[in-house]
Amino acid sequence: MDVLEEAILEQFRTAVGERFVLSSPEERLVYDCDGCVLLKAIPQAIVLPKTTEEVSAVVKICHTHNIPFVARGAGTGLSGGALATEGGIIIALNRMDAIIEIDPVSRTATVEVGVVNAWLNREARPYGLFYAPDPSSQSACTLGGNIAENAGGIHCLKYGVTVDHILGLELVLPDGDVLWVGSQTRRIDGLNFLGTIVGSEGTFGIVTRAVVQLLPIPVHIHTMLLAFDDTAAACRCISAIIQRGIIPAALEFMDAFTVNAVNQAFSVGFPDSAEAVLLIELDDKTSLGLETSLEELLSVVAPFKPSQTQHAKTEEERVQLWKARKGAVAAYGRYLPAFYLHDCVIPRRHLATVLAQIIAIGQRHDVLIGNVFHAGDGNLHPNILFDPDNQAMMTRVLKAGEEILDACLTVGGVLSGEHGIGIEKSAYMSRLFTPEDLARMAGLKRLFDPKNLANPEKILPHRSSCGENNTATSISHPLFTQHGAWI
Amino acid sequence: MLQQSLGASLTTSGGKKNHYTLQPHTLESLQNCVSFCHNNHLPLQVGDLPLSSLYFSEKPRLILDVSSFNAVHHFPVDDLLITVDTGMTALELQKECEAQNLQYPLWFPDNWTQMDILLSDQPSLETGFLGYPRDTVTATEWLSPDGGISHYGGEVVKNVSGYDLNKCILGSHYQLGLITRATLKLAVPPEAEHHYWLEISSLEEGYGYYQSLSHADKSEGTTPFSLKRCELLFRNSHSSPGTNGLFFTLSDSLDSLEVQAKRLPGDVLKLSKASARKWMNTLMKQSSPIRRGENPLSKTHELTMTLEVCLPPLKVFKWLHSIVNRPEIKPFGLQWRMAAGLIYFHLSCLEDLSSFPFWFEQKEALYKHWGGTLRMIQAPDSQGQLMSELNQAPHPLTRQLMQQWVKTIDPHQIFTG
Ligand SMILES: Cc1cc2nc3c(=O)[nH]c(=O)nc-3n(C[C@H](O)[C@H](O)[C@H](O)COP(=O)(O)OP(=O)(O)OC[C@H]3O[C@@H](n4cnc5c(N)ncnc54)[C@H](O)[C@@H]3O)c2cc1C
Ligand SMILES: Cc1cc2nc3c(=O)[nH]c(=O)nc-3n(C[C@H](O)[C@H](O)[C@H](O)COP(=O)(O)OP(=O)(O)OC[C@H]3O[C@@H](n4cnc5c(N)ncnc54)[C@H](O)[C@@H]3O)c2cc1C
Repeated sequence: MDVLEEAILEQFRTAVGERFVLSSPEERLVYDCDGCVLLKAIPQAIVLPKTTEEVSAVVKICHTHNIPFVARGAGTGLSGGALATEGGIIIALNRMDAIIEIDPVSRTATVEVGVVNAWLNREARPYGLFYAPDPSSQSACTLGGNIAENAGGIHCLKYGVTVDHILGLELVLPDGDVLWVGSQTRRIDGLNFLGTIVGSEGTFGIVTRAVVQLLPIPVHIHTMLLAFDDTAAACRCISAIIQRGIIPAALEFMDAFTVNAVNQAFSVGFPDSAEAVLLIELDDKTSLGLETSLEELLSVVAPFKPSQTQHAKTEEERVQLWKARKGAVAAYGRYLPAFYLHDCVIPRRHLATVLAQIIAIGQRHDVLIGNVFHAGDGNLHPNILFDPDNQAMMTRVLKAGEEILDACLTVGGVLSGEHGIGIEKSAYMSRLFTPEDLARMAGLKRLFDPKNLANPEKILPHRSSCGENNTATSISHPLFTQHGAWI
Repeated sequence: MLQQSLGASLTTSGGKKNHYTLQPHTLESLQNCVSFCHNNHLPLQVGDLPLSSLYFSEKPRLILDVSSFNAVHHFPVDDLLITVDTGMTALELQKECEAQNLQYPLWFPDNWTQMDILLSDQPSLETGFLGYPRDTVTATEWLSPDGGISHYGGEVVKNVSGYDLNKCILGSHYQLGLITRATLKLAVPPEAEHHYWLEISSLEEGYGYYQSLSHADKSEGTTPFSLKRCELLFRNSHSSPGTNGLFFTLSDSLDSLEVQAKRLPGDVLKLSKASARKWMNTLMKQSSPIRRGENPLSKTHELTMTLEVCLPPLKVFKWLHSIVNRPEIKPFGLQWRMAAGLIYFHLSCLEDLSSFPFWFEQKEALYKHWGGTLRMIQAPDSQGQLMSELNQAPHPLTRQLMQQWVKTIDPHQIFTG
């Protein structure tokens, strides 16, 4: 789409300052995609406000001229959420990067949304506190992006996802008005708009500030790796741990392909011959408590006969294990340059069956799939690798992705556990929800955004506002049917 | 005729004029009942939550009895989840779970229904340790006032597929309709629970004791106190000086509890299971708007008023000090759910009706300066309207948007009168 007309650009410049409106073709190109490289859309301009007042002024201009706007943090999102697919501007929040206050008594932090997840942890550490949600992208992604996607992470099994840690927030509505929801506690006053805004992917407006909950850093931690010769045994072991009532801080799964990839990339020496590896972390307030749960965990695991058990003996060894886990996706780059990632959640009891199906789907379509995922939550992450220049491969990748989604939905799974729907999965929504469900969601969107300007056409399939069913399935692939071929 | 067309039985209610109880037996007849009221603009009262002015008004109304909706819909034991119809009571749910050696993590009085609990997002005695009811729900079925049904979630513990409709409806106090079915997260019960009572003579003493229980976790080589409930009770008024104290529960393996018991101070009284159960019942009923049976604080509801304040737990004590000597809240009975930062004030309305402006003021101050919340959960019938007003979200624009949403969903205000 073309750049916005000069008169409107001028209004944005007045609102945020000359330097903070980007409109040259090169500058706009930088914002044409996020972490989901399958999809691209060039915005008509990029505006970088510094304060809530500036955000409000920018949004008011959009409201007056009916210009769609899309919030953007670090652009690490994996569902095409931060793309200006309907034209309009991107409001990049990276200049709103102040940690306004850390209150060790309330155990809260008040932050602007451009703050990078890892920065907050760095600042909270001296108080003995930490911010629990830890997406693998935490060194880059922003808290605003985390709030919009309700991000999860490795330690969310025990500590909960983003919504469990956001106590209050400031939202600039699509007409420029500013509202606050929540408090410094988890008690909700009135309807729980807070819980609904978190995870709404920027479609209700722009979150500008948030009060987040901090937790005391657990003092006693034990991390270990279990290798299995049999994927099904590893999956059954996961269920057994949860069934016993043990809640590890983290419980992650890696398949053989991923183990090889991280071994090559990071020389971590994971067991090469293993079919599956589980990374488990336990934490506790006391060493005695930790010992007790470790003992119990090992007794639950024993019948599943892991071929190898490695315990991290030092903090360095522990850091190395998590570095390998968090870097797994990067390690896939050694095989093919790009990946297409689904993040369905399934009932845990179906893990073994669905993983077997995913492997079969990969073989049938001759595509490489690496599985590295939050096993304790049943949150799968099949990474289908591809070469963007290879059209034939792309077709197979998309088909495989669609079959994986169907396999998950068939066992009662849901489309996404932490990456959101964005544009990438919106056409699939009608496979999970009835027209009545979608109409209810559309009603909520209308309440916040009657003009449909805030990140339009994300989450809900087209026409769902009328409660109609989306018929994307009739054409070869939903990603193409809605928006044409962007690849 | 009405009975036939709705598929529900209709009876007159407890001697009250113009009040009729409808008891549907199928989801379809429940939908019929709700749509009937919607179409005829008839007020419909559900459950026992006096949080709207409807509850207090003398308007003719239908009362919906959902006790027939108490079936287990699906119970995937391996995944520690259960899907139930929400007419199911807390006792019925615990019995189902016990049969599989599981438990619902939050304890509620026997006859409260899941509908009451989920629609009020009622904090339990364990909330500071285990969260709110909304944290235990992975899926809901939502019956809106026009009789439409929508769903969100599944038997999955993590989900960001579209707008979280669960969050909308949980805690919405019947303003948006009913939750008819819910999938709940369960837990493995501890081997044992031991309950204690410790008399205290001042708030300071109680708070200090709670801190020593929680901080003891930090000392190395000792078994940590596995605290699951801790409620401080305090009255600085006329009668029963003996009732000031700390009620707490430790839950763990039997061996561990034995070790922990040895570290408790000598004057702690171990309570029998039955006596603890009685305490828990009283404490919950006193601190909830759910009226199933009597509120033990007062036989006549007209006479007591209960307010709930929530603050970051470590700020409570300071805030209490800032208001404790205000004449508006004296004499008071206080219930402090320490780990959750929840405080309940039990006030006599005879003396304190004039304190309403004070609480409006406090709500504003709490919101602006303390990051806290305030709501009234029991009030005399005559004060229903004021109470509804007090309980709105404090930010004006947020409040307006919420009201607009309620109006869109329930244009004839059948649930809110
Ligand atoms: C290697 C890698 C690993 C990842 N691992 C994880 C993981 O473990 N867990 C996980 O949950 N995610 C993970 N992600 C996905 C991604 O990092 C998260 O979704 C993250 O929350 C996005 O943050 P961001 O700042 O990059 O947001 P962006 O990508 O810029 O935006 C994401 C969405 O949020 C909206 N948005 C951004 N800021 C705001 C705001 N202030 N107000 C309103 N809306 C806003 C955007 O419009 C868009 O819809 C990973 C991504 C990568 C590339
Ligand atoms: C007309 C009227 C006026 C009242 N005015 C006031 C008033 O001004 N201030 C006021 O605080 N109360 C007031 N109340 C409530 C009344 O004081 C309660 O009935 C009282 O808490 C019970 O004490 P008790 O000694 O009679 O019974 P008890 O047998 O000691 O207690 C009855 C029940 O109350 C619970 N309980 C006891 N002490 C506490 C406590 N400290 N906190 C929470 N629960 C407790 C116990 O679990 C027990 O089950 C009033 C009640 C009426 C009917």
